[in-house]
Amino acid sequence: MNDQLVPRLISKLFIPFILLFGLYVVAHGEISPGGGFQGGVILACAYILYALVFGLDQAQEKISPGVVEVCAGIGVLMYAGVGVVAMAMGGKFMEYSAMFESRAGFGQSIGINVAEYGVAMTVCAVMMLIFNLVAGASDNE
Amino acid sequence: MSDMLFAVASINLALFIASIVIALLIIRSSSLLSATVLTGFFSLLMTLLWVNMGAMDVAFTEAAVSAGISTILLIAALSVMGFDERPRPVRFGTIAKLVLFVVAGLLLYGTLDMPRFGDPDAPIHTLRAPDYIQQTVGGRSRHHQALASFGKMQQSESLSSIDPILVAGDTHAGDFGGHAPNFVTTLLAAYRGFDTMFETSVIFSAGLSLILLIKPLRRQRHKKRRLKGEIDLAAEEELFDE
Repeated sequence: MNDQLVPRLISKLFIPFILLFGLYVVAHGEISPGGGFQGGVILACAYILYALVFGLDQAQEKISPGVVEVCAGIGVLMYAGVGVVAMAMGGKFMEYSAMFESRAGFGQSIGINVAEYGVAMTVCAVMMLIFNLVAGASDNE
Repeated sequence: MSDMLFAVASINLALFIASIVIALLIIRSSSLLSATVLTGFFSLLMTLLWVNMGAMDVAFTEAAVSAGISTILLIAALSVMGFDERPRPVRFGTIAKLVLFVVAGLLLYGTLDMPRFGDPDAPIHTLRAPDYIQQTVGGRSRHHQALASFGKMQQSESLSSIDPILVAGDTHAGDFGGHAPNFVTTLLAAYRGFDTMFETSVIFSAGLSLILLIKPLRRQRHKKRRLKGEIDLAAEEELFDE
């Protein structure tokens, strides 16, 4: 689809907005419907749109597959890590309210947010990874 | 008001009938591509149903994950495998039919015991939920404060005066203090934090197993081609560099 003007132009126009919407859904997960899972999927959709229009090679040039694989692991580590931080501050594993003394609600909010960002990172990276592998497999035929 | 309820009920009925029709079409279609697209459409109808039930978070997930990315990924997988299913006659024996009807009957019988939709006396609305809704939505949520400052939420004043704990907010240990007003996210990330953590690691291990499955496959295919003498050495080194 590399030589077609309309898809190129439209996708260039839309990808920033898709990314912004994905980030909004992740960041506002604790206030409005949405969260890490949905936001991560929307972010991955922007990458897939780019790869479909401009080709997988060019997309992998922008974000290398190695980085994606590492990000998938970092997301899980973030989620588990914030639980361990709560433990280090004297609470139980994932007892976020123990993170800030005398400010339980604030601690809960921070813990939930970091966990959501971790989920978003893993989901986004794994979706990109699946697309990379599957689309790459069809390229090699 | 009853007109409104009637309208919602008829919309729901139409959505249910349409989703059943589409499910039957998916079973009968011989082209895998059209079956995949119909699955996406089925998810869209389910999204509308969730919205009508007021389950916004579920609707959002259904739209983003089922109707969106899984359709794309399935089509990507089909482009590797080929779009046509090999026609294979399906025959249901008498025993299979009997089991099918008995199981369907049992499932329907099981739903008779469940509370009606929206029943305020259902156990799910009387045990933990009120506590959580008060902790997350009530009292001092930022969203609520923003709304109150615009003067749009008159009844909110009375809400915060009901319960002193809500007004205390942050000082109440183990409380969310109104910092996370969306209690679906609060439940998923804090109350059921372990569940969500392992969900995330399930997704991670899905990606991991795909890497382990597909990457060696690519190498193998490459090796076969090299044995046939299709690829010269320069191209081979280029491929292994990635």
